[in-house]
Amino acid sequence: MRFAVRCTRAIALLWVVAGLSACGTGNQQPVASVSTNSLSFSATSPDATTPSPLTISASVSPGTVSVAVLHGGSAIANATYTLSGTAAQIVVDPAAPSALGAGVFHGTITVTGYSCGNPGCSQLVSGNSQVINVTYDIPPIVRYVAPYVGVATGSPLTASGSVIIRGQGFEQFPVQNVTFNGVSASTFSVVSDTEIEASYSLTLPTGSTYPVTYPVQIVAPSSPQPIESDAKLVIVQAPSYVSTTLPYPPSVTGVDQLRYDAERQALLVVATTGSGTELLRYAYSSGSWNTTPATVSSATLPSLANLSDIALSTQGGELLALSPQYLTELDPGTLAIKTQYTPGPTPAPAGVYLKNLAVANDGNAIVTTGNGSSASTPLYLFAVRDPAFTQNSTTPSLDNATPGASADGSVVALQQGDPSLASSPPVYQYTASSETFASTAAAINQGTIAPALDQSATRIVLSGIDVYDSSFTLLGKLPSKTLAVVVSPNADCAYTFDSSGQILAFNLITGMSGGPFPQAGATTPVSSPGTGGAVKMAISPDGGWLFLAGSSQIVVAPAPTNQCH
Amino acid sequence: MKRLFLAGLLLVYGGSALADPAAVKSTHYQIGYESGDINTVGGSDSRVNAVDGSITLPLAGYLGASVSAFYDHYSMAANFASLGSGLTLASSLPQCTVIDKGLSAGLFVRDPSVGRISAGYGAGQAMSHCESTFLASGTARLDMKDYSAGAQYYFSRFTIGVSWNQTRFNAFDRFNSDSLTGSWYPTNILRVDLATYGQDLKNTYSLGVEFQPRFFDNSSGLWASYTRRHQTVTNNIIMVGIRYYFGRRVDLLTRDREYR
Repeated sequence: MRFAVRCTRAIALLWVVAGLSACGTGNQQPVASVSTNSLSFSATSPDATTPSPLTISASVSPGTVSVAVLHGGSAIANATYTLSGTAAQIVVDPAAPSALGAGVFHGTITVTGYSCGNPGCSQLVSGNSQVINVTYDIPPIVRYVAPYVGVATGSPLTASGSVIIRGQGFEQFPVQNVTFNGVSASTFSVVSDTEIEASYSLTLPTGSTYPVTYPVQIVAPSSPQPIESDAKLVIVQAPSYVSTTLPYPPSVTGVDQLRYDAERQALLVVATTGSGTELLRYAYSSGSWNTTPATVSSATLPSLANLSDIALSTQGGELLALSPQYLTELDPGTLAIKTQYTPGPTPAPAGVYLKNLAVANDGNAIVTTGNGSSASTPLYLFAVRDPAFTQNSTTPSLDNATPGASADGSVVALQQGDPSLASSPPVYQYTASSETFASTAAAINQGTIAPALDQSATRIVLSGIDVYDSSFTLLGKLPSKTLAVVVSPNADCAYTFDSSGQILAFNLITGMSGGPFPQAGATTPVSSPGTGGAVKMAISPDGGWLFLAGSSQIVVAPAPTNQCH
Repeated sequence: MKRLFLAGLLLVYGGSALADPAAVKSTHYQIGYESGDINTVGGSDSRVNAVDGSITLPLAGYLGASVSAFYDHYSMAANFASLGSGLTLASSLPQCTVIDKGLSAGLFVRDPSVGRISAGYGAGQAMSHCESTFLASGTARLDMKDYSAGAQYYFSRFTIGVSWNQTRFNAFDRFNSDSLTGSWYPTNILRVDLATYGQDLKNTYSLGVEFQPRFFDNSSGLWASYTRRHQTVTNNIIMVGIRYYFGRRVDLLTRDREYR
């Protein structure tokens, strides 16, 4: 009887089971489907703007409790999605090309549906996932070539030289050649992902109109996209100047800086006047110098008052002019003012002014500051390509630093301090290939003469007297009476102008005993530039001509180059 | 209709048993920790760690009540390699952390010599800590309400149980499941469970054991389960856990039928 009762109860329970099983919404599968399983992004270069986001549509079945959209891989900056019922729109944002550099990058987006794993749904289980593979192609870019001016000589006219090519992605896709307007480089070597050393030997077409521009390009067949190049080698004829003088406007009382624009055959001068400063441009055209310079001053733009320094950008497209609070970009051909910038991201402290600048081959201008006393003040980098002041982790604060750059822009030497200091502060260098500052083995209390370097920074003259090699080991000394100095592009000769009124040549290849370098020659310019104040000196890229700007005038004089060989 | 049926069943059965009050001999407390791996076949494993606790107490006669709580931490797999055939997956397998917690309470009537009928209500919340959205809420948080009913029939060393469960996600579809469970006690300290599920958990089967070893002096139990869910995607779920019981030291069979 008891067994019968229990059997009856069991049957009742099974009936309950059957009844319960009739309820519910039916089976649902937590399956996600997506409109595509692959996405591709591409940018024209690491400097390009970020490509537009792409959208994927996805659908999930009603049985899905939860949907996760997860992403991984460097190609994807973010993946966001919106749900409307069981439909999802997934927006995939690619990473900024500047954050990735060149290469082929990957990412994955995983869309997963989750469903309940137990009664009460206190347990979730993964359904299947849809994997969307993302690829992102960014080809290399060639940004700069330095020095960007080469010189054609001989007959037929040929130009040869060595350059440093800067860009990004040179190690991402094998570089099989470097070309100058389609002409293969004589030699090239990929130094790093951002640097190639190359040499060229170009025969100029007969009847060329100078300057002749040679676009610089790398050949990397595996690059997924055409390679963008902004680098142009400009070939000029070796100057055929004659010794001459160029007068200042009457208001000029002195000179603060002199630069030679080899591409445009012009002299750019920051001159002191009774009311401040003026930027002067003397152009050479049709066989003679224009003795009436184009001028820009605070009358043109008030913030240009008290200019302290000027420099051409790495590719020569911009003239950078420094005044106490501003860096102003001007057109180097017309002196038309473009844009002004103030230091950042940390503004210059109160009382600190922009002092000097020099340009490296990575596109950065190194800008030093001062505050009128012997104290450390911040340095800045000014990126010409994406104009803005920056500072990196190695950017030091220096004591009234004065920079000098090699013509290939590989090194900027920074001397600092002043003769009154009891101990000599270290000399710093900015290495363009690594974009870092570091102190060097040299220490010197700077004088009034800015660092002078040859094209490749194998000879570095500090304070116009001490000559160092590329590792800042002292090689020898120049006369203490030196007022201005330049180093020939090939580093064999230093040319000084001193208080004797002569241009002296010193052989920097021999006699490197730490003592005085042997004098290799001397010449007297047609007239004195004036020694009542600072004297500034520049040299043409072929090393054949020297330019002196003093308190009275500008002097153009031939360099006695052959006396150093 | 279904709830009315269950409520009636409870009242009728509870009323008839009032003469012999034995639903819960004394208040029973337990806490537990469990850990497990949820494998999606062809994909990656999810992991879960959870703590829970419950109180079972006598109310009157055959009428008892239970209150329980749980807190689960999931690292949910979000990768399914087999669908990525020929594709390159991200270097790291994405995981999604989900926290699931809840409280529930229930009433039941029980005759230890016959069986048990129960009804319960629970509320829970799931919170995703990744780029995950619950469809019901459209956000990373999901509120859940849970209704359940069940019956067990005690037969010698066997227990047959059925249950019905409905979980409501905000205003979203309901998740329903039915189960049929058969339990066997080879000894008084060991229980073996076989269960099959229906509705949204259809094609789901589980095997479980709970063991209350002598050397724990009937204070603790160890359990393990394996669940296989074979739908479009197959999941294998392995869980292990330990429970600690406060109060009376009784064997597992007695605990199941007279205390919890």
